[in-house]
Amino acid sequence: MAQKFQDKLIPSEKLFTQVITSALPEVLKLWEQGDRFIGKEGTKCPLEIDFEKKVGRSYYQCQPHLWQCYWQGSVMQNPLIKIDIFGQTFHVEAKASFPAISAYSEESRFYQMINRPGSGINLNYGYVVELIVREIPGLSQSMILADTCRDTYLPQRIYAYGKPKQRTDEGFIWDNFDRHLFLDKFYVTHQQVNEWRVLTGALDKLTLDRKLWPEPSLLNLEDQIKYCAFFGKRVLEAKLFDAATMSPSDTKNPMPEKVLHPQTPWQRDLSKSFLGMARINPDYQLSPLDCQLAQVQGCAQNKFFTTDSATWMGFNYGLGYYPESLINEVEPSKNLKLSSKFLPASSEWHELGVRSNWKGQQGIDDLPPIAFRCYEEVSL
Amino acid sequence: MMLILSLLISMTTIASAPRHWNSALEIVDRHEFYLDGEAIVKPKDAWQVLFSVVYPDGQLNLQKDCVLFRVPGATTGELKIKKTDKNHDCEDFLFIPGDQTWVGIKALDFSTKNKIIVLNQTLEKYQSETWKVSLHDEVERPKPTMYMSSADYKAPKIILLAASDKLDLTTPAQGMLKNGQICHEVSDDCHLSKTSQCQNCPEGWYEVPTGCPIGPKYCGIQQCGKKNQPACRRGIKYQRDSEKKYECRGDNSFAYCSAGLKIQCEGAQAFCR
Repeated sequence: MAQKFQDKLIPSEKLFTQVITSALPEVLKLWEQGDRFIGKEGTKCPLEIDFEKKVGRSYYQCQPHLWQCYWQGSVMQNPLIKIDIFGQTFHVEAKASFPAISAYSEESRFYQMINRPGSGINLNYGYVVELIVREIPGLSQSMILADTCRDTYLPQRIYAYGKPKQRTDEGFIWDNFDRHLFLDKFYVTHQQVNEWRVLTGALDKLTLDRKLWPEPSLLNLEDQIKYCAFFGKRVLEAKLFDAATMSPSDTKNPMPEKVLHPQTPWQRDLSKSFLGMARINPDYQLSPLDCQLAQVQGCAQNKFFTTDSATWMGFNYGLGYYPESLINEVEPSKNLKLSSKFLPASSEWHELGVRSNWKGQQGIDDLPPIAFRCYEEVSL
Repeated sequence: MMLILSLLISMTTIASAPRHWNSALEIVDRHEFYLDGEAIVKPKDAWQVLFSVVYPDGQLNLQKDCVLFRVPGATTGELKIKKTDKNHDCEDFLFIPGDQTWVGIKALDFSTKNKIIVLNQTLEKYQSETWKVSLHDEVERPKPTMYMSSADYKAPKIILLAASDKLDLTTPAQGMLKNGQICHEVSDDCHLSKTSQCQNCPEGWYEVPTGCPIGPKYCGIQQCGKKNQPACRRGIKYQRDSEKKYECRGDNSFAYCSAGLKIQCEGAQAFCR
């Protein structure tokens, strides 16, 4: 029915929208930098998340369980976002309007993970949350928070693959011009695989031990492929792993005359690194700095989500840490980065481009546990 | 405190654009002749599409509000909004009643620049009303840079959902493709015929290299390099020869197969046998 302009106006809606819009930067801060909100006393929500020293702060960023913990009042007593607008203070809160995941707890959720290919929003997945303003009852705003913390862009340039037979050889080189590739910064965790299980209804396969959640998920290759595909991603390829870990000599020149094959992410020549020294000196004592660069056998503490080993483009765990599953279309049998915390520093597997084979099943062939990660190619 | 709040609410302008416009992802169908901020005076007594506002609904499908205006002439002007799906042509609603309609408009101008919609109306008795909406979510795909995440590249960090709709994901999304379906067409002479729809694939996509900068893409799990699968893309710049021409039956060094397999061509497309 036609109406005069004034008939349809609800001023509180406009004020609500203004308050919510003003709150968005703070909402984003809470989401992307949730670790900054955790005080010295840590978190008090054992059913959601533990704050542990052995887990790096990156784990708490874009972390839905921390979002749940925060709004349950288990990070600080009165969780809210204060917004001063027009000389008035408003209090923005999240609403627990989503169904409980009974395997975790009976509490209603402050978020719901979604996976929605084919919708118009151009995101493979995200987290829906609902916000209210305490002073303006009856209105709410739903929104999707994107996972902006997970992966990192692989710049477009010419890259080298593997270890050439002669150090002077260029070996197999390739380029990713006109491609947008984003590589996971860390291994896929139990917590992330749980999200996949929840979304696909496989609740009987959830890992319920919260202490394991930040640790790498140990799926068989078939499930690794399914996991990544579910989110529109692929299991990381060997040549992308090399691209992410072999630091270019000149990052400003994407088409260098000669493409190098560095032997470690932090030093071109392995013999000058602690790994080289350990090879010639059986009594080599690992320093804390060595263990930050590459966690190998003998390092004191198992750390997860550390960024100490970050490579030139923000990728972690180039050498050491866990063995990693890789798809290798150049040499399919070389599909395992074996360098890991399960091998001594003197092992010859600790070198970029050197790879072993696994058959895709965890726990056979005397191999240690094998981690994986995904990458996403965004179609132009 | 409640008194201050009541005063505050009463101070805000009483005319409001639809609240869900602050979830807008983009403005489309903008009238090509009307200038920003210039009063619309022609063609008198005729309906015109001013612009439309695209936003996600509760199922995360894209909807749009067509904003149409009957220019004042023999009678005063009329503004209407018609909700439809994103791909529907707003022209179809010129002579169909809107979902919301406002009458008695003596003059109207609008602008859609700088991510802000402004719509000014002069009403009978010369009252004036203004709609002003900042498009928080308008998509501007950035140039990818070092350390950028895929989510930052593809979409806004926060996507607001239309206020009136409750989240409902019980039915499949409207635009979902099937595995095996082409999601990005590229002709043999390297012409990109449509924009990529690969974000609508249920399990990702793969490319079949042809020697063009970008090859055609299909929904499904990538298995390139294996026997009877598409070859893997190697790039056309790593050889640092900008003069070089690549094609499957000629120089096929733009692609590769796993050790032991060879490239075989199916038309312009490279496969591994």
